[in-house]
Amino acid sequence: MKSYTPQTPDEEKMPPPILDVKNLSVRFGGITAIQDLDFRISEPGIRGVIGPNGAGKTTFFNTITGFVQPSEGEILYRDQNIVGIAPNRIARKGVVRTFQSSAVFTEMSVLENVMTGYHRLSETTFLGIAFKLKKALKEENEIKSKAIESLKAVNLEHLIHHRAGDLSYGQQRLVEIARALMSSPSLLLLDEPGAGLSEAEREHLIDLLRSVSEDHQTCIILTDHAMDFIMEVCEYLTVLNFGNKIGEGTPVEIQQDSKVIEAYLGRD
Amino acid sequence: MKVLKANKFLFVFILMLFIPAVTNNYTQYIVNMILVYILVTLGFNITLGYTGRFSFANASFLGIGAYVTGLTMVKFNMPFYLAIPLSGVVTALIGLLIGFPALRLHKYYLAIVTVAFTSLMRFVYIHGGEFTFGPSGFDIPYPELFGWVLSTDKQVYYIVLVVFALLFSFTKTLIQSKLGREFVAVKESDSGAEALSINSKHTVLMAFTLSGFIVGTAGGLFSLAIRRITPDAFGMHELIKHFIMVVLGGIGSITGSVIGAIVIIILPEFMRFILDYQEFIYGMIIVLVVLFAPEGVYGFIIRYVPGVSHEKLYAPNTR
Repeated sequence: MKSYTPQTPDEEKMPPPILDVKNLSVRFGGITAIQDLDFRISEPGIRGVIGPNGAGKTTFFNTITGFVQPSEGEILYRDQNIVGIAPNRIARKGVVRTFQSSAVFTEMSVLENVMTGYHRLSETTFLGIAFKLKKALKEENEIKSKAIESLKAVNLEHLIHHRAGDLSYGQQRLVEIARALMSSPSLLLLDEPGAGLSEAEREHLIDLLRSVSEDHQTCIILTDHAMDFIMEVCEYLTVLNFGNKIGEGTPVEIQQDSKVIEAYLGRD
Repeated sequence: MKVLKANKFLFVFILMLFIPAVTNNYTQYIVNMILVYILVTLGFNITLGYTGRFSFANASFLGIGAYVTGLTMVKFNMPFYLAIPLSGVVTALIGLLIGFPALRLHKYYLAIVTVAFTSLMRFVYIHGGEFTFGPSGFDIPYPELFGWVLSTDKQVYYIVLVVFALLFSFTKTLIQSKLGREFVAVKESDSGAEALSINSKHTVLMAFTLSGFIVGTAGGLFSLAIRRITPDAFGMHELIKHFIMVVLGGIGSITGSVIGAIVIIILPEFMRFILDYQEFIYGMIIVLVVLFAPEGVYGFIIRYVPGVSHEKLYAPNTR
């Protein structure tokens, strides 16, 4: 399948793509989760990956972030192959994700959860901590105020001292997003961020994601089952079915794509 | 006075300097043991409580620390101020070694392996022959400082106090930093931590090394305070004692570690007349704590006692 990049007037002048996935295949035993997938992001924006259950969306996320090793293919992040690198090192490069089943640290307070997200940018060393160097103490204070800012952005500042596990499912998703934003990711992968959110919370999340993508030049890839949410927030969509890419385009194009309609609704 | 207010820790330390003024030899020995066991519990809590690894090598860490200090003092006439740090370093390395299986083994399997390690170390002490003085153990010489022999419990107390103060504040600082958050993050979700760029393997190894260092150093102090060490002091019974201290005080809590150590050291002294039932009472404590205060005494206090801030409950940085 030919890789298609939106709005590419002149390939020569373009900077290297932010994410370039080439011929990616992932197999678990005899089951093919992803088959020969090409996926490219050239500029910041919000991309959606959709597909029916079992289409390979989460496997795709797991593979990019290093939690699952591909059977074939390359994943280039800013021209560096990141296949085979440990998840924490991929995250250190700025590829940060959230999980479909919430990975909020339930026993920590909401604030501590979000503070943990700063790890990628932290310059404090073991000695700095042990000897209470001024720089380390200053950083700790900065992390705290940044975490509060980040929680304000998701409207959870009133819950900062609560046990994260006591929050509703939707609120935990928001904590996880706030935590991911703490690390100022350059590529942010959100696995069903809208799940469990109320209509108002979802509207707020859309505004937040838009401002993150515009103000910080962050690329966001997200998946969700709520089509109205996906269609509203994403600028461009990739559709998977049984591990194959069956369509790519703007939300309007996708809604009219006969293959996509067939995958979701079945053949007449 | 302003300085003291600003530094609560220094204030407590200065107060503690005067403890020998109000104790006799017997109560002083108890105080020494409490300080040693606060470190033991704190070290255990780092792997079991904060990082959530079911490692039960803690009694062997204490034993290794005690044997290293004792043997180097007896065999090589090493001064205590070198022997104790050496105990810390050697046990830290042992901790690191135990850390590697902890990366691969799931909870219960790690528990079995580490309990086996505790038994194995006891076997080594018993059958070490000339090298470890066999099953009957050996006496620890009086520590000497610049030719001055520290022979009483009150004198030994000052060694224990200084090492305790340094190590306790060091550990507290580490746990209350981003390192403490990383420990808890790895405990809750390896992949969640990895996704935030935390190297979960390094964090676990770090926890085990740190735990070994703290408990090993405490082992060095233990040998000075108890005067005579035997292999039986570091077996399953000892391990259960450490475990009860952690569970009773509060898993994953510094204050809880202090409470657990104090209660479990003092309690038997009040139960001398029913010493035969000690194990029964330990068992009852575990059952009661698990049923009624699963977060330990400290967790119980901050959750249910009115006026105590809830904020502390879920922050490794403050509890």
